[in-house]
Amino acid sequence: MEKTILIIDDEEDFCYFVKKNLEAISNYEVITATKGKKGIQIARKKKPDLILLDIMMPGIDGLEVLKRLKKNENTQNIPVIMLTAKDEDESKIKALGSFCDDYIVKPVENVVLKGKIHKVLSITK
Amino acid sequence: MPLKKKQILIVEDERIVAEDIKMSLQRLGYSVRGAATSGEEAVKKTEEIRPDLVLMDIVLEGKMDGIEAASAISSRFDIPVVYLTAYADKKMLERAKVTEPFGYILKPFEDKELRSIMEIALYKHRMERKLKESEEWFFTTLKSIGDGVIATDTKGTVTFMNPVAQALTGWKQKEAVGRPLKEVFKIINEETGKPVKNPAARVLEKGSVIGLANNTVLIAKDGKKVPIDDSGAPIKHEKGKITGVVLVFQDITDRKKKSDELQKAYADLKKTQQELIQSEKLAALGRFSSGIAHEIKNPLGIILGGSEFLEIKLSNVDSDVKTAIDKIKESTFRANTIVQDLLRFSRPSALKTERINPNDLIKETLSLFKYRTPLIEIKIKTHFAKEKMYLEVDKNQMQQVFFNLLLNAIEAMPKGGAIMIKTYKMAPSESSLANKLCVIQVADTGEGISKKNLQRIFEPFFTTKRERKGTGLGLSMTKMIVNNHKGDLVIESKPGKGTTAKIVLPFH
Repeated sequence: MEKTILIIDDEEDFCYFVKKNLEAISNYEVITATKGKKGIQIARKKKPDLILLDIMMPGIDGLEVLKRLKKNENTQNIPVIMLTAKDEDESKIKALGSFCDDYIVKPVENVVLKGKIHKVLSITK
Repeated sequence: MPLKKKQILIVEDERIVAEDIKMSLQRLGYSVRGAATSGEEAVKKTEEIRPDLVLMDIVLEGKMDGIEAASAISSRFDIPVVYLTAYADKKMLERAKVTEPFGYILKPFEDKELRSIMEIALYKHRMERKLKESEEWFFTTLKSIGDGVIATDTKGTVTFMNPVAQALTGWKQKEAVGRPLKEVFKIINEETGKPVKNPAARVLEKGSVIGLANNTVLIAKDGKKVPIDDSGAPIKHEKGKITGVVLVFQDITDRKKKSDELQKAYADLKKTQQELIQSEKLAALGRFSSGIAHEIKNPLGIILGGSEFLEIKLSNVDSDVKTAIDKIKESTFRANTIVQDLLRFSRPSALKTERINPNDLIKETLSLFKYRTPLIEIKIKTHFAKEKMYLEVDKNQMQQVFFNLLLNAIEAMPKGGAIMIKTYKMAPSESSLANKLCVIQVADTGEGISKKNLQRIFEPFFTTKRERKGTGLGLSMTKMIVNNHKGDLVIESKPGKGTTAKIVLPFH
């Protein structure tokens, strides 16, 4: 069965290319959300196999989204890979401990992205 | 108040003549304090009564004649003597002349004649005494002043030296007088080591006061070098004719030391000020970098994503398109590296220090380097300190320092050359830092850095390698890392000869 990946990132173009590229090089189905709140809603409704979550977003930021996802029993078991554009967020992400499964620093190559997703999915299977 | 009558001593062995002279003198308003009939008595009485003038007959009875008596009186008492004589042969006159008499009176004489000779003698003596006093005053002044004084004649021959000049040059006045100035007053330029032109000759040429150039050093007779400051002036007589040169100089060792200290303090202050400006700039850069990193990295993510999208979609097109996509991706990574460097630069990570032998760390970096950068036509030589040295440093960061310095050295030698890596201990006195220091030196034989660029090499974004894709952050980051280890990075360079980078670090 095809795995579903949800990207929550306020950069619409980034979401677009990640979706297009991942779909081209893998069998994942990719859905996108450009706002935190919308992302949570989609996650609850569609229960994706993995969420790529950007940290810095207007409105509800990535860390808040993660907290809400982990609080909800429908979404708490979905593995999350955090996306960040800042190296300095590394320490924040590390502080999240088991709440997130991995992190990726932008810009990211397809091969790295695919590898990380694959790794997290294999571990959490 | 009536003027005190001048006291006269008459020396005459013929009593009648003596009495006659006494009467003449009294008529003329002089006081005759006594009379002597022999040379011996004349000297004795002069000592007792101290007259203002002695009238001395040349031919006297006894062992001592008038000339001998006059000689004794003028050498012992500074009292003028006027000779009285009835006749004078040439030989006698020659003898008399040596005693420098103040006048001669030929017997027989008239009152008028006696008076004018007496008055001239008294006046001449008064003037001579004044001259002597003034000479003594000048001599004492020259002897007492703290500066060295040398006088020469118009040929540049030494005629006078005061005690300070004697002490500074190591020449006694009696040895120096009559010698050429350049032999006694040897001066060189401290910086060039070359002799300075004879100042006396310069004064004579110019006819006016001259000053010596800075950095003049006097070489004393024993070879000792003394930094001096001096001036030379012509000695002119009343009508303006130059009769010699006077040089006035002083030992400026202390002044120079103080001035050097002041200059050093000023340089330190300037360095601190520059460092402050630099750190202020860095702080501003830090705030800026952090702010824009997110804004840049997001579009970079999109560019990379877009490029890879095109790569997938256009997999069957010709190689030109593929090359274009590769170049876009390459530039994206480059831009990303710059942002990463900026972030790292503005927010340095905390030091994770460990005890490390710098020699081992250099060897490790070199092996890594050889693997990563092929070295063609570049020889790397090492000269490590034999004694064991340990530093408390962050291994990764320090490796980055060596790596950056080596990379700079290699890039400075596009046609090949040599890199010499040296480690040694530096004596504390050579540095402003108090404890023992370790120096790690990376020297190349490359193109060098111009003086203008050398002043700016630690400025963030300053690069001469724009065409080689340098960001201008390498050296500033390198220096920052060394500074974070309480050390310093110093770069010396000579265009065309090469560059030497010195990392100075405190020992563990």
